Amino acid sequence: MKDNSSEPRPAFKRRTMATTAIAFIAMTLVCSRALGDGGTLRLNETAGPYRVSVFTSPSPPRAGRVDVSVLVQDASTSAILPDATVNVSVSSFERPEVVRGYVATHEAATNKLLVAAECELPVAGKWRVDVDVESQRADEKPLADGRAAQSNATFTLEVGEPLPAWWDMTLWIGWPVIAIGLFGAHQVLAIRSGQRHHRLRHSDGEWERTA
Amino acid sequence: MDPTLAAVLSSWTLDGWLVVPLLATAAIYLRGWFLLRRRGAAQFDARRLALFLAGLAAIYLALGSPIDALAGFLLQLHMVQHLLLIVVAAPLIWLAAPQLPLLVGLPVALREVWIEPLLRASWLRAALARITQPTAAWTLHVAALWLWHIPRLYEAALASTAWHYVEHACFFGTALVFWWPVLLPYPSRAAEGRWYVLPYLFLAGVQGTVLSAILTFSDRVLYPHYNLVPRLWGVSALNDQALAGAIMWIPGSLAYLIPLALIGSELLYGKRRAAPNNRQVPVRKLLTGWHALSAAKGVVRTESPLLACISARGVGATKVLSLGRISSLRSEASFLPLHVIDAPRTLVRTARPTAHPIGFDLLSVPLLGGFLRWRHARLALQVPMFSVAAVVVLDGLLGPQVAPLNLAGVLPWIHWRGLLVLALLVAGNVFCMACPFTASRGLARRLLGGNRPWPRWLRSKWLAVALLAVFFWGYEAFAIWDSPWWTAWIAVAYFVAAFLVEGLFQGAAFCKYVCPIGQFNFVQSLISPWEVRVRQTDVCQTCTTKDCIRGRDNIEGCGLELFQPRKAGNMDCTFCLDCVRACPHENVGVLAVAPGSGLLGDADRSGVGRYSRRADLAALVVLLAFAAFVNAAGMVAPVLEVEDGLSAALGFDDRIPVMTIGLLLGMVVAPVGLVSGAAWASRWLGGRSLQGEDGKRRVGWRTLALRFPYSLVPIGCGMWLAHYGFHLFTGVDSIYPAAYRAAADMGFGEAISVAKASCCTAKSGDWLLRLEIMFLDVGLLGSLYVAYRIARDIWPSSGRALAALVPWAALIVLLFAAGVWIVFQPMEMRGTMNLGL
Repeated sequence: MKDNSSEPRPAFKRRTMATTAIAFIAMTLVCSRALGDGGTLRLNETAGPYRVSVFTSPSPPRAGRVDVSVLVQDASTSAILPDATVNVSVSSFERPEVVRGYVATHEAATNKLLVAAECELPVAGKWRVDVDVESQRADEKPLADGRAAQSNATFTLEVGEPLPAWWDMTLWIGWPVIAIGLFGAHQVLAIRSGQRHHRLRHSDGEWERTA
Repeated sequence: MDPTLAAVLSSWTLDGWLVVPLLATAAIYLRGWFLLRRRGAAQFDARRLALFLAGLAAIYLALGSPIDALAGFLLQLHMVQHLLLIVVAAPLIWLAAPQLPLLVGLPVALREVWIEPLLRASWLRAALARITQPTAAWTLHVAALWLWHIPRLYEAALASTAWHYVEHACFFGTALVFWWPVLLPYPSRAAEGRWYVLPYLFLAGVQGTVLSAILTFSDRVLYPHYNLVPRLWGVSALNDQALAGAIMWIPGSLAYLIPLALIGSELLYGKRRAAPNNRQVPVRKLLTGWHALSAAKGVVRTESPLLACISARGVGATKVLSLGRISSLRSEASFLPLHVIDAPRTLVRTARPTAHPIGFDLLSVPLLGGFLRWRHARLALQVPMFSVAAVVVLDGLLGPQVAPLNLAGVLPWIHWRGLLVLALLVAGNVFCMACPFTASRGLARRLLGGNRPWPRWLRSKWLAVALLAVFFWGYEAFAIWDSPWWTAWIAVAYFVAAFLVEGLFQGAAFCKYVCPIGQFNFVQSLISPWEVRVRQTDVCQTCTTKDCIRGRDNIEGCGLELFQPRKAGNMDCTFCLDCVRACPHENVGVLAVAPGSGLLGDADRSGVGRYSRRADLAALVVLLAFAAFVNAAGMVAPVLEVEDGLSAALGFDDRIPVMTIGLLLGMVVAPVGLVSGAAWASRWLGGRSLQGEDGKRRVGWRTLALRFPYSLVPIGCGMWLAHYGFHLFTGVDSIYPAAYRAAADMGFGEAISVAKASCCTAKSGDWLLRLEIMFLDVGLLGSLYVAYRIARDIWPSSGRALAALVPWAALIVLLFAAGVWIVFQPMEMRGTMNLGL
């Protein structure tokens, strides 16, 4: 009976369970999300005393809910104006008389330097997005009636047709396929492992691996 | 504090996709660390735990802190993010030697059933061995760094969230591979000396310097994204890039140079303090600490400490006869894979411990266990439930016949149903335990005798099946959910029926043979994680009194004819716990079990018999599974529109005839046809005959038709959860207007305006829909798994079993698809409507 016990197994010297931990730990990153970048930059221009940058998400935008995030900076110093009041209004080019207004807030934004508003754009097509900004700090000279300076920035957003409702849930609906695949692989490995080990013999109370 | 700084510091995210896996990993490591410490593994001290948690914290810092929020604006912060992943998190995690704690920390079933076969895979082990060789590891790491810094790819990651995930995964994954040969976490050891680490780290530093220099000294912005985004704090894009290069250069280089210096010093001068003598084999230390036996020539018999510590109940509970590779023991490089992987499962003998229960026993929980053992515990639960039922009946009969404003229209159909299925999922049959309908059993028996045996011809589930079918029909036909009056009378009928049956007949005949709610609970509780069962079967073998079923000392035995030593699963168990109190050996507990284990096997179960011989049970299971989908579909707009359309086309004044036909089709014709068809196809595909020990035996169509339906329980339960959970979460506030109105009618307080559905906003709709889909997903997987296990049970050959599984898998997937379609449809918001008062 060949005794393999004294033979080192070079592959094993580096073949450790540490690599299995890679799977566990890497899983955390597979599930990670890159948040806080505001989405796609749509506008970055000077509007009055302000520098207004507007981001939208998702990309590309589709009929339904669209996140509009705004960063307001002092046009002259580039200082961020976190206290600025930002109002976002949207109207479809096909029905310009219908205007929806939203107040952008820090709470709605992941990156608290920005303010964000979740706007409802129910139909596909071109939409006009107006961003009105008001801040006490940007302009030392208030308007004649004492109100703080205001500025407006406008851009056009092309909104695509909405995806089917189930599309957003594709991952949620479809992840069992991954689990089934993993299980199938596991079963194949388990069966092969069982076939390999069934060659063992029991002889005189000692267990040995056969050649 | 500066508002800008305050805004930055508050830009943390608690994204579930990040936090949950990190917490789960930490919990697994912590558990494994704790278990290893308890077994004397001194290698796992507080330092290792701190290192691992610090590594996870570094990951969160990189991906969930304001660093991530600002990485899209500043390249330097993006660089910090990547460095956290590459040179902080990855090495910290390896320094914590996570292999053993993570493995040991996993649940035993998960580790032994799922992980071990994977770890035995030679192709996987070969692949992992190859990529962790220094050359390959270094190449992978450097390649990932350089590739992702190519402007086109970097921009793609910035523009797309998905690619950003991939980028982070690449950086972190290759960093783990890179640092492995450097740190060689315990119990690994280098095959040869570690001199390779010096050029390894040196060259890594060189390439990092080159890449850093490109970023630092470039005269143009390499990544156009940073030219477009607004500049923060007056930092220009070019300066930002230069700073990013500097950050990569200095801290990045130090991350390579410091370990280079330390390891080089160690190689030249030896370690400052005695390190564990690798030749002594920390493994052997562990072995001698745990009953190491002598090593015979070429063979080692030992109790693997690892298997000892990962076995069900600790030291001495598991013996393993190793495969005798002494060199593997001595090399300690990977004893773990050898002993865990190479020891064939047939060699592992697990002796059932005599001193400890199998699985966690709920009765061992302080206070809760004492309460459950208290002989009046059930009554203590039944009294409040009886009170609630009484209030529901009174309000249903006397209150306004507006369902959202009546406790009988709200409590049973929104709160009780939802809580019922949730409780079955997480706890077990607690509602049967607290059932108010049988609270008067004692009184009924005193008045009516209670000494008649239940008629033999009714000793099956057929009566309950019929009652359930009638109930589902009546529910829709008479819109019982919208009629407090009907609801109240159904409750009254229940009380009367229970009183009469319990009073006239022996045992718990109403529960076992009549109660539709009980049958629902019995079937769904087959997937509950708790089961009333004996702790140690050898104790029962010496018991002569059988008090668990006969009772003693004014303590009743099991009225549902479940003899504990032969009881398996929760079928017919009301969790009354009479057996717990009656057992003189305190050998019955409420034990944790694998959910769904009660669906498997065809053992001769006490009080139930064999599943393969109970057509009534199979019919009950099938009815409840299909009813889950039919009941939910009957409330969605498209189905109602079809009903109305057909009623109009056929000239019916109301929808009852069409609805009745629909229910017949959905709950009788379709289930019978589909189950029969699946059984026939399964038999044809899997083969009609099996080679048994006593010669060939035939696989009957009837056997398949009666065994496989149990695989539909998980998907059916998933649909019940999705449906009733939807009504519960959207209508949970509906109790307030009904309760306030009822109180006002009785002179207490004032009525309030009706609250609209509390959870049906656009935002809450998202999570609720996801929850419903998740219930269906888990149900799908559970059903497929159970069907697979049943198939393997009948056809030992894996090929035949898989072939036979196909029709049932198709049926399960069909139900799943139906469920997904249903949850996407607008559903009637029962019990919630806007009213002004």
